[in-house]
Amino acid sequence: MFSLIGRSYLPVLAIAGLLACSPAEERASDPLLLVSAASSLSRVLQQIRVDFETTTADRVVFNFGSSGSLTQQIRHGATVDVFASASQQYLDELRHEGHLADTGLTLHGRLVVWTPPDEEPVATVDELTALRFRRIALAHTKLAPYGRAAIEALQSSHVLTQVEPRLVQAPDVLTALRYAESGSADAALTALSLVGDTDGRWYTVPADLHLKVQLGIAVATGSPRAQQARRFVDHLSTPAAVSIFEANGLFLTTAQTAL
Amino acid sequence: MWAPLLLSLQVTVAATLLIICIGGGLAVWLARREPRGRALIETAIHLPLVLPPSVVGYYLLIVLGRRGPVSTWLEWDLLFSWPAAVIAATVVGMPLMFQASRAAIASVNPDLEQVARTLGASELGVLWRVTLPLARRGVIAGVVLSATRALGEFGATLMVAGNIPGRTQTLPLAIYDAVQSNDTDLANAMVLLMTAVGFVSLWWVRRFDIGPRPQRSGTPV
Repeated sequence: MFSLIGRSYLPVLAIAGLLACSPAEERASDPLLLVSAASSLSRVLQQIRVDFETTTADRVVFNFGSSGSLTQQIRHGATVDVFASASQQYLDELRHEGHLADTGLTLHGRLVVWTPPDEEPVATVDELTALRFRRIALAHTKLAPYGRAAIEALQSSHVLTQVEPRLVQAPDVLTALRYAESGSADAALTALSLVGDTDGRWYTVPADLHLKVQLGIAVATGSPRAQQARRFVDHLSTPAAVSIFEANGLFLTTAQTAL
Repeated sequence: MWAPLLLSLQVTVAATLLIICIGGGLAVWLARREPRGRALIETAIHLPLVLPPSVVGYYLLIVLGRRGPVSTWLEWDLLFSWPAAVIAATVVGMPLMFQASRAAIASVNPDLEQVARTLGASELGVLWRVTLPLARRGVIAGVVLSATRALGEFGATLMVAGNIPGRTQTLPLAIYDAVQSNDTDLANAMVLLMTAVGFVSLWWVRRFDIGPRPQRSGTPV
């Protein structure tokens, strides 16, 4: 019987061997720059990639996901060249652990109150107390930076206790917007960077009502294409890229360039 | 839509072969024998059925990661490569193959196998010419179900293979991306395709699960 089991494993080993051979070879000769990026940055980064690729011979491919799981992947040794995190906190952790270089930049986003096209838009945060807002969507209030900022803005407007029972927490800021877009919620506290191509209307919450929502982009220390990675990150603080960021509701805070 | 589809097919075929070998091998082994710790082994094989994909993905990330055994002992750097997607699909698809084929093999009348042995058949001959033909309904159902589950694998794949277009972006991941970026037309097309594949495979499996059994079946009633 043992020989039977032994034999039935032979093909497994053969396949496992075949599978193992290919990826390493593929990667060594792979010229593509791999950028792990938060899903919320997909729109703006796709636009910047087009601009970047017209100026250099480098080619970029994105791995979009949630900042938390992208952080875990890098921590466990996934080979990436650049990490664009929706939360500065994850970036700081990885930098502290030695996975990210100092080369990079910090951006900040703006919080908006988004309302569907058929809803009267608001002009202050206080107006969210109006009874027509039966459900107000926002991102995770502990994990998502925009969720935290939303709570702070409600707090500094002194309406948190009134509004709290009507808050609907989504896992992330994009899902919060989708809740309101689909009519599941009557308004959403979401990111300016996401609302650009939506049908609704939005009110940009004054920046002094909450702590800055910081996003960070940095070169990975394990990058096999460090030079191209630095070129890409440097490109992000050029006037052309900065204006694309600004058109998408993101603003440059600081840039630590390699040059 | 075609690149993710092709990659999904590649991953599914590789994962299904692994599932047939490993899951089938384990089913043959455990259908008739009572090795020590059998309950423990079977529970472990079934675990991916009930664990959330994030947990399976996290385990695989540790196993395949830089400090994990695959990287330190075998020196295979599998994270963010399509074989990582194959491993994720294999782990989540395996319980379905194991469950269906183990039950089918266990239900084959042992007397028939004994007869074949007395006629001089080797253990492999008994398995190949008596046991598997009699258990084929369950085994085929297991293969189809686990292959379909492998095709639809999402959560664990996202963790270990990433979501890299053209390299590790399978159909379920491409759907996730299309929905996230509000590309409704693309999302709808791929969602319909996945639904059709799932429906057809479940429909097909029905033929093996129920319906008239062949005359020569040796299963005890």
